[in-house]
Amino acid sequence: MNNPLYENWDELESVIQRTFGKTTDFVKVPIVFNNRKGWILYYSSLVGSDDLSSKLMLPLNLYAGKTDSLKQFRAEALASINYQYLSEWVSIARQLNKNSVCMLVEGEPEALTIEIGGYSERALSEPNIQPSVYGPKIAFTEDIVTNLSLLRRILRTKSLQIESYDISSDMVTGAVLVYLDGVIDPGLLEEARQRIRSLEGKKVTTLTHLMKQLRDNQKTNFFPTLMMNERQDACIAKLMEGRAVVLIDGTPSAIIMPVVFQDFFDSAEDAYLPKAMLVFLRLLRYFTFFIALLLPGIYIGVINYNYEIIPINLAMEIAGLRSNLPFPSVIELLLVEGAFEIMREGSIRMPKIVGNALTVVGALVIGQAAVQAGIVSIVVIIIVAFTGLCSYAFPHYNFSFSVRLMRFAFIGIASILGIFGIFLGCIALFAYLVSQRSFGYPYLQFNIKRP
Amino acid sequence: MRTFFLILIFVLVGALNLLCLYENEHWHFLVTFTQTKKLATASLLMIFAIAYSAAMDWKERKKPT
Amino acid sequence: MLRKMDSYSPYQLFVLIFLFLEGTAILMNVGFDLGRDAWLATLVCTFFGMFLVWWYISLIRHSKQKTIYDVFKLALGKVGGTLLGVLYITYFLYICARDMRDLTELIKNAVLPALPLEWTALCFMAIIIYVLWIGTQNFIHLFMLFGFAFAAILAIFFALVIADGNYDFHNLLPVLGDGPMSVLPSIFTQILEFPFGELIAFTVIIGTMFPMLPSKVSKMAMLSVLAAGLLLTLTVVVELVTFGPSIRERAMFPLVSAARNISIGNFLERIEMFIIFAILLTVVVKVCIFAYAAIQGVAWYSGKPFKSLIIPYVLLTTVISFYVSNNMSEHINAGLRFVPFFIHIPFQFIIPALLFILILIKSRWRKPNEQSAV
Repeated sequence: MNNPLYENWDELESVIQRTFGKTTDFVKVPIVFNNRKGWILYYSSLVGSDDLSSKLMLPLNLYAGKTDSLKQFRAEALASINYQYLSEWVSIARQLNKNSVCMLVEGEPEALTIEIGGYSERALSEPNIQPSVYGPKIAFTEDIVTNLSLLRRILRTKSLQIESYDISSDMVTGAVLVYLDGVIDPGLLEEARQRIRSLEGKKVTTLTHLMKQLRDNQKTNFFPTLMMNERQDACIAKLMEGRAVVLIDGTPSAIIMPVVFQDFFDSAEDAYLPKAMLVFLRLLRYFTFFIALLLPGIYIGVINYNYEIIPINLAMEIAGLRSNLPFPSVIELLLVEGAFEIMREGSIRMPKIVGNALTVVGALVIGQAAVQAGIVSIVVIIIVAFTGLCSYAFPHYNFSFSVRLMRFAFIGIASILGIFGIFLGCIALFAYLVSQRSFGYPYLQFNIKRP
Repeated sequence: MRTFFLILIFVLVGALNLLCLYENEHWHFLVTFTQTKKLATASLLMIFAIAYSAAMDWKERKKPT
Repeated sequence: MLRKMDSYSPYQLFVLIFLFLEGTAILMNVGFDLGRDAWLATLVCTFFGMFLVWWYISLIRHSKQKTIYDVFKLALGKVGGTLLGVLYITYFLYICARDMRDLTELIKNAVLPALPLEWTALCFMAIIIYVLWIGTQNFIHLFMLFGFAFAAILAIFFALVIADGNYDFHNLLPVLGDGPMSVLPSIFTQILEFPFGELIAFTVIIGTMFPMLPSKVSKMAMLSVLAAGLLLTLTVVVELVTFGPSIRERAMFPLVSAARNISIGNFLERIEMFIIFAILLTVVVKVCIFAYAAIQGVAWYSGKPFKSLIIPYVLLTTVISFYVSNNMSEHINAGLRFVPFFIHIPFQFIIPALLFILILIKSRWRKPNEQSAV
């Protein structure tokens, strides 16, 4: 748009009214600037009054009479604040929505917008989803400036580059792409930039929307190719490895990309442990992955088709326990799994006060009463509880969703084909994992020497 | 050339089945129940394979037009 | 650090050839009529196998073609090459079907006896289709993973055999008790073909994996054949010491039976399931490679893209696997007596030898012409 901001100073008030509407938090203050009329525009919900008076009003009172033009005023009085000269209402609106204040002076063709912060933010707190034992107990907050300062506080190097993108045009949500300049692969960087740029114009406000667009396979992914993380040290470790981090204003998590299968078995805590412990924990995590995925399926396969695998005493015990039950083993397992999933979902939503009641009710109903009533056998309870325990041992939460889904698929296959079905299912699962790509990198990585 | 494809399937199936049948079953292949089951599954699979390659053929013929 | 992994590494070839050779050799009874000396025959065949794989690779390298089908065209001209190519496609499909049948017989015998053969074959076929569908680069990666799992399972198996203590090395004595002449015919007509000669299927895939075919590839392939042969020998030894030559002659699946014998502290009873998983992994590799060789041949012949040919031809292979034999004993009989002699020897040795000679003649015939032009 090449139209000037206003044609006639007297009409300006009505132009402002028309552009910004009648919201009650939009403030326009008439000022006198060196014997000329002027307006100061801002949103009162974004700009704090303390900041406004100290950063803008005070210099205005002190210097306004002595300077001739807006440019000179800004250079002398407001030197240390970010500013922009804009001549389109759309950009002015965008800047105002980003906690800026706009100054319009009669006779000046362009408006000056200066960034003055000042709304209240959450203080730095401990991470809840990925708690830390030894590492720093700082999680990201919703404000992007704070998050970036958390990163730059540790990586004090000029190669930490931060590129910001204003996606979702008039709903201004800032997304930033953070990377370490020398370490990241240029092809990856270009790909990441392109994907974020392709979001411009779409309505993206939260991180999950962003993730949906940044993903490799737009339709469905059973396994995640982007990792959400709220810990500062995890992001820093990944940045130093050559990956990119995307942050968005308003969500206290960061997306790390690209991410492969092995990364979901790393925890940020691992850096603080000795090496032998590390190997043991890594093996343990792979082991729990397989158990969480396959144990109910193996149980079904073994009970129904190949009972010779388990030691004979155990087999006879299980057969004895199952002799009076009404349901076939698959239905029984699915009932208990279903109850467990419901309990899991419920415990997330329930307010903390009632949380205890839920645990007691769950344990009583499922554990004790159902077994004693003879609806399910106790072996199934043990299996499901152990599987649930294993799925909580994962360091990353959004990975456990995939495992939960796959587990039901394996139960289905095992009920038809027994152990052979589990074998074939494993092969199919690994074939699927190998064929996934995350930003062009294979999802299952093997570190073998290339010629 | 895709119709070659069907011919190829037919030829291969014919040749291999001849080889196997001659070697093993001496043309008595509906004698027992297992043979009937085998024949049923085999013909189902063959029909599916032929249908699939015919569909591929048709899709390819549609492309330039 | 993340890697893109666009090119193939010789280690992948190592794992590929290793799993391929283990394939159905672990499953079936290798050298079943040799009794005590089966392990020695396998060991000797390993060295012949190394020479064989070197010969196949140098056949491709010498003629500077990508796959063996192009070598056919080079040696015999367009019509002859096409005909020979179709013949080889049929051969690969037949062997693929035989291997599928081997596995379905094992599953029917040891894992799921009540499931009809056809259903087992169908489920296996579905997995093969999916593994071939994900693309060449991906499935070679997948086979690397299989290699790790296979090595782990076999290592645990051997440890358990030693822990079980139920072995008797006297079963191996006397070595070559009937004289070396009793072993030699079997070596050349049976063992050389059954695990080692099937490496001819690699001539289709190796040209696309390593376009320049440096000598490193040859060395890695020979090393892999050596390792696979040694492992085979070791499994034959384990089977022999566990239950002696007379039982081994009659066993259908000797390794599975050996695993069945292991009983530790009344707790680890039937660990054969893990062995069957390991066998499943290697048989998947073998069937996939043969199917790849056959489908690549059809793609070469008809010019159609590889992916669209997978489903019909794997279905076809499954159909053939139903009809290959009536029951297990016929299958073993055909597989160890009829097939190596009449089918493997011509396709694996005679025809490549003729091709080699033809190519040498042609290249020498061309050289004087070129010199006269200069």
